[in-house]
Amino acid sequence: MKRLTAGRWLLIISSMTALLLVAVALCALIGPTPLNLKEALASDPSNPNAKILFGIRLPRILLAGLIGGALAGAGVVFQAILRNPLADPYVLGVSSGAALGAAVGILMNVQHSLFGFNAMTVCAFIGALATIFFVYSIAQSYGRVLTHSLLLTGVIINYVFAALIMLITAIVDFTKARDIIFWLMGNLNKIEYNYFTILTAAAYICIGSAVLLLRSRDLNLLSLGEAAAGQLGVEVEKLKKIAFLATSLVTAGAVAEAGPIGFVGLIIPHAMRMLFGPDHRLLFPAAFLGGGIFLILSDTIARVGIGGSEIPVGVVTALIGGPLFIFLLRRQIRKTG
Amino acid sequence: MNPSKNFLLLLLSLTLLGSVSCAKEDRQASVSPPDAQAEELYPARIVSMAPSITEILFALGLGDRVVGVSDFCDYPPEAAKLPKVGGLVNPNMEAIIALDPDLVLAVPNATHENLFRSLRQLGIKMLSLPNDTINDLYGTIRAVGKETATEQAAEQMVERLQAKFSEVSEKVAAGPRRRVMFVVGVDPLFVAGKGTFINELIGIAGGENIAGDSLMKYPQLGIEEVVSRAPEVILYTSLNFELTGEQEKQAKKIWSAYSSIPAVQQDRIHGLVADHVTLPGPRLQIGIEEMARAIHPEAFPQAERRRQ
Repeated sequence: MKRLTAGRWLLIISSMTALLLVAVALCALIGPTPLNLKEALASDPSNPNAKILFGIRLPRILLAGLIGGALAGAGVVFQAILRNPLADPYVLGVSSGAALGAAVGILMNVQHSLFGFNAMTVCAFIGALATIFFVYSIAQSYGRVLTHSLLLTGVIINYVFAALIMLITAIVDFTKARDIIFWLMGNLNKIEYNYFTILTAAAYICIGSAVLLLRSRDLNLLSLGEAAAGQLGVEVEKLKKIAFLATSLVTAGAVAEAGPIGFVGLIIPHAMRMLFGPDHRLLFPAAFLGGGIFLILSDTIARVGIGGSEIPVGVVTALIGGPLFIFLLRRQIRKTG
Repeated sequence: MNPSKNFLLLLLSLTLLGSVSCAKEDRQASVSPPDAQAEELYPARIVSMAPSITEILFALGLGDRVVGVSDFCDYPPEAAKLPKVGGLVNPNMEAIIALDPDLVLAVPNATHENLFRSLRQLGIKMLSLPNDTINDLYGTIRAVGKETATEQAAEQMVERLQAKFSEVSEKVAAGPRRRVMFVVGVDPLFVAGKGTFINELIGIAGGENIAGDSLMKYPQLGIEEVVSRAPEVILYTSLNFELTGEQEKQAKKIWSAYSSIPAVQQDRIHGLVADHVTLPGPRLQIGIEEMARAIHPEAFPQAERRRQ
C-alpha cells in the first residue's frame, strides 16, 4: 500500500466527493414514476413534478447519503477502538436501544413530534441515548473503559433488548406489530420530508464526525495496541472515551431517523480499507463518502422496488453489499498472496 | 412426604377431577334444550379464531354456541366477554383444548397447518376459511352455515350483502369513477392493493384504486407515487371503534404538504370506521355505504344532511 501523501488524500477525497455528487444527481432522475425534468425545473413549485423532485426525491437522497456516511464512519471507528473486524455501529447496543425506544413508543401510542422530528424518531433517540449511557457506565471502572467489557456488555444488551422487543411485538395487536417490524427493517420512506430536520440531522452528524476525523491520527496508533499507543504519547483512555461517545451519538442519530439499516456500517469500512489502505486519516472520510454513495444507490433500488411496492433498503444493502464485499476480499487475497 | 398424605393428595385430585368432569356434563346438558334433537345442535361448542368469523357466527344466531374467541374478537360486545384463546399466529392450544370444542374455525395463515394437525389428533374438527375476496366471504358464510345446519340463514346473509352491494353500485353508477387511495398504514405508507376485498369494495363504491395494479396485496407506496397517481379521494381507517377528531386533524395535516394531490385540494380525505371496512363480515353492509358516501357524497344527499 502506498504511503499517504497530501496529494493522494486530496485526489481520493475529491474524486469520492465528485462521485457522491454524481450519485445524488443521477438517482434524483430515477424513481418509480417517470419525471418530467423540464416541468420540475420550471419555476412553479406547485407542479407535481417539482414536488416529486425537490419535495420527495432530493430530501430522501440527502437523508440516505447522510445516514450511509454516518454508519460507515461509525463502523470504521468502532472497528478501530474495539480492534475487532466484526464490529459495526450496532455492536454496542445503540440500535437495540433505539429499537426498544421505538417499540415502547408504538406500544404506548406516543404521537408527539419534537422540533419537526416525528414521535418514533424522538422515542428511538431517547432509547439509544439511555443505552449508550448504560453500556458506558457498566463497562467503565476507575476511569478506564475496558474494551472487552464494552463489547460484551453491548452484545448482552443486544440480546436482552431483542427479547423485550419480541415480547412487545407478541402482545400488541397486529397493526402495531407491523409498525414495529417495519421499523426494525429500517427504511427511508417517510410520508413527509422536512428540510429543517434533515439540516439539523446533517449538522449533528457532521459535528460528531468532525470530532472523530480530528482523532484519526490517534486511531492509527491505537491499532498497534493500547499499550504501544500509550507509549507513543496517545492518551488512550481519553481517546477511547471520546471516540466511543462521538461514534455512539452519531449512530444514535442515524438509527433514530432511519431505523437499523444493516450492512453499511460493516462492509463499507472493510471495502474502503481494501481499496485505500488502513490509514484512518484517509479511511474515515473515504468511508463516510463511500457509505453515503452506497446507501444512496441502495435506496434508489429500494424506491423503485418490485411490482409497484417498495422493498426494505436493508435487503438491498445486504444483497448488493455481500457479493461486492466477497469480490473485494478475493481481490485482496490474490494481491497479497 | 408420608404415605397417608400422598393418599390424601390423590383422593383430593380425584375428587377435583370428578367435579370438573361433572361440571362439563352439566354445561353440555344445559346447552341443549330438552325438546331439540341432539344432532341438530352439533357442533355445540365452537371456537372462532378470527374477528370476521366471530361476527358471522353471532349474526347467524349461533352466539350461544361460541365458547371461545381470539384475542382480537371484540364484536358483538357479548363476544368480547368470552374466553380468549390467543391470536391467529400464536394460538393458545391449551386454552382451545380446555374449552372442549367440537369445531374450530380459523382463517388461513402461516401456522394454521400446525393448529389443524394438533387439533385433528385430539379429534377436534378445524376449518380454515379464506377471507381475501368478497367471494371468499360468501364462501365462508355458506361454509359456516353448512357446518352448523343454518344454511338458510347463511344464504339470506349472502343475499343481503349482494343486494346492498348492487344497491350501492347503482347509486354511484351515474357519477365518475374517482381515483381512490385506501391507506392501511403510514410511515412507511402502505395501501390496499390488488387481490384484497377492500379493492373490490372501492370498485363497488364507484372508485378506482390507485394501487389496483400492484403485485402485492398491500404494497408499500413511495410518496412520489401518490403525488404522480394523484388520488381524488384518500381513505384511512379509525384506530378504534370510532373516529376521533384528533385523528382526522392528523390525517389532514399529514397530507397538507402535498397540495398538488386533488384529494388534498378538494378536501376529500375521509376516515372510515376500521371494523366496517377491514373485517370481511356482515358489517360490510354498513362499511360499503360509508365508503360510497365518502367517494360520492353527491349520490347520498340524505345521508349528507343527516351527518350535518
